Amino acid sequence: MTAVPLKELVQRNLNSIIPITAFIILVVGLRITNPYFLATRDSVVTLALDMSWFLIAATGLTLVILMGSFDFSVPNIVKLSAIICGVFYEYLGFGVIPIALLVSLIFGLVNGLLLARFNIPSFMATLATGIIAEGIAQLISGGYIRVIVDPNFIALATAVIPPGIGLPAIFYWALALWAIGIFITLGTPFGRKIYAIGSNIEGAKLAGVKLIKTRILVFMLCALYAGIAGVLYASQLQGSHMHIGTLDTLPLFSSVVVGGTALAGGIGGVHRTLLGVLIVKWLDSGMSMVALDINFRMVVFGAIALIMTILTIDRRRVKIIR
Amino acid sequence: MSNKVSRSSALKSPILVSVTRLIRANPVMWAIIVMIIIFSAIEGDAFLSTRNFISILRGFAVTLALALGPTFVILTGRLDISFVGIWMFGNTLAWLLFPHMGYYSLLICPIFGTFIGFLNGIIHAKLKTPAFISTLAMTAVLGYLTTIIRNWLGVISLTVPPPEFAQNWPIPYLPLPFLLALPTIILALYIMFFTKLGTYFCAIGSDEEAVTHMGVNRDKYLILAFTVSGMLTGLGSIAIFVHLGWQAKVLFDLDDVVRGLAAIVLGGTPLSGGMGGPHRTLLGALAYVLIFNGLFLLPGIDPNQLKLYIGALLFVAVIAASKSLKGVIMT
Repeated sequence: MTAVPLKELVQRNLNSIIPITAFIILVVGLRITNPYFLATRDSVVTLALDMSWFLIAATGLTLVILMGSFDFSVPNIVKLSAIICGVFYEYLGFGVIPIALLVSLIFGLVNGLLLARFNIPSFMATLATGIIAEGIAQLISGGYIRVIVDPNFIALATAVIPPGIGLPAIFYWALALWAIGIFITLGTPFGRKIYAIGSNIEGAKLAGVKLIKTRILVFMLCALYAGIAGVLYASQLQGSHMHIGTLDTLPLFSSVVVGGTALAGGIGGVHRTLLGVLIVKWLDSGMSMVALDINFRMVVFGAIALIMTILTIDRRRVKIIR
Repeated sequence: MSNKVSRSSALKSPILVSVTRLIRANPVMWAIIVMIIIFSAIEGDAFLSTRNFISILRGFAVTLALALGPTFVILTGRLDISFVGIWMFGNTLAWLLFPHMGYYSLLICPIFGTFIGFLNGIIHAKLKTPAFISTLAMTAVLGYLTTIIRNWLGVISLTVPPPEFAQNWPIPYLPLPFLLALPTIILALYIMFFTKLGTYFCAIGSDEEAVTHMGVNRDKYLILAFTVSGMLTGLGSIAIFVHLGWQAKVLFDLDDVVRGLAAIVLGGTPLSGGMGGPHRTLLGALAYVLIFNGLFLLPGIDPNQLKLYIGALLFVAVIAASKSLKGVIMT
């Protein structure tokens, strides 16, 4: 086995080195500036509540980005799903959950059909469906805040497990769904197809991957994840409002690329997204602790997204980048 | 087909013939004509009034200012959505410089736009980053920076006092924003049809590899496409500045992106690039403005439904434009 020069080794593993380094610097920095960071149970619970729905949505988005596509509608599907729960809970009870998930799945199906069947760039297609989802949310909620008072529904996300000393249930939901995501991508033939499409779409087609079917399924899976995130977030918030997810497009996208998943597809994976979500969410709470403007935080996430996109793409493999 | 047209053209007036040709080449003309007929039939008084005509022209100017620049990038098969950022931050710069330079400060808009466009081109062509995400990040950074500047300076809006002539606008029927958008339109059409740039952009959009093999400096023309896009957006953003009442927009909203993109796609420039151009975007912008103008004159329109209409319009537009995307696998 020939020795690989250090420079090349670093270059090849840049998408692992950067997130881990950033994570260590972030934890040390937060620990120095704020002695309560991860030191009290309250701070751990707050961070867990903050990142859980985000991790679910980011897991879904990772699947799509891994395939080389992009889904703009994720935050809006989260919003729509939460709003459906908030508005219709008083009429339907727990029946809102299947409805919310079904609506999310329909949006995923439309996204997938637009990309795979009509051959529209996923960026444009999901921009359109995302706005439609937001429009429906605005229409059925009328822009009002809805409150859910049923303790059973609230317990779905906020029940503390084990009682009294543990973390809220939504955290375990998130970890479980994240683990399922890892299993799908790394442990099933379907996951290998996602990687194949992301690495080389022509090659995948020639190798017999059913492009249309796989891509539609991935988009539906992504929308399902977003829908679950919305339901759980509505339960955590004890209601819903129109601002859910409004400012989350950039952080969501940043968390996926910061983890080391390349935008051009085929590199990275769902297992990296947990680290990305931790970096983005802890950075976010760190910045809000020093009272930075929300707009400034968005600028930071925009810059992070741009820099990580530039750093993670494997340019030897992709000939034409559009 | 062309033979038939020329034979029958002997009987018709030349204007009629050119109109028929225009409709044949641009299917969106059907939509425009049908909309004009329907809206004048349903709400004739309101739709055909002078006031509405001026409002259509103003909307047309604003939509064009957003859509003309990115058309050139879409011709090459890329997507440029930095136009919202260029518009907002360029106008803010003009506002910041106003106390020192007077109304000449508006000239900073095209200069700033050219600079950002050039930067976008470098990031895309030299650093090999997918264009839509780098320009999205650029737009978000610039848009949120505008709000930060507003908050730091502690003002509510970035407004410049309008000059004397704009307060009592003397020309009937032609509002100032429309006149200010005219240079952008002329410049865009000039670049497209009277320089070699338009041809090269189309060539890159139709077959990138062939163009590279033929010895065209692809990176140079990609950077030029982004630069032209930024410059035109900057120039056009002066018209938006005037339209909004001599002020810069300060709150970033991703939905503004839709206005420009929808006009381009409606006009018939496919997202895979290679055909179309600013002349089609003119028609697309007109169609976009007419739809929303006519829609909001209808009685009983709920403002809560606005988002739904915008989304549905973009949805229909991308499906209609998907016909010309055969052969390339999109991601």
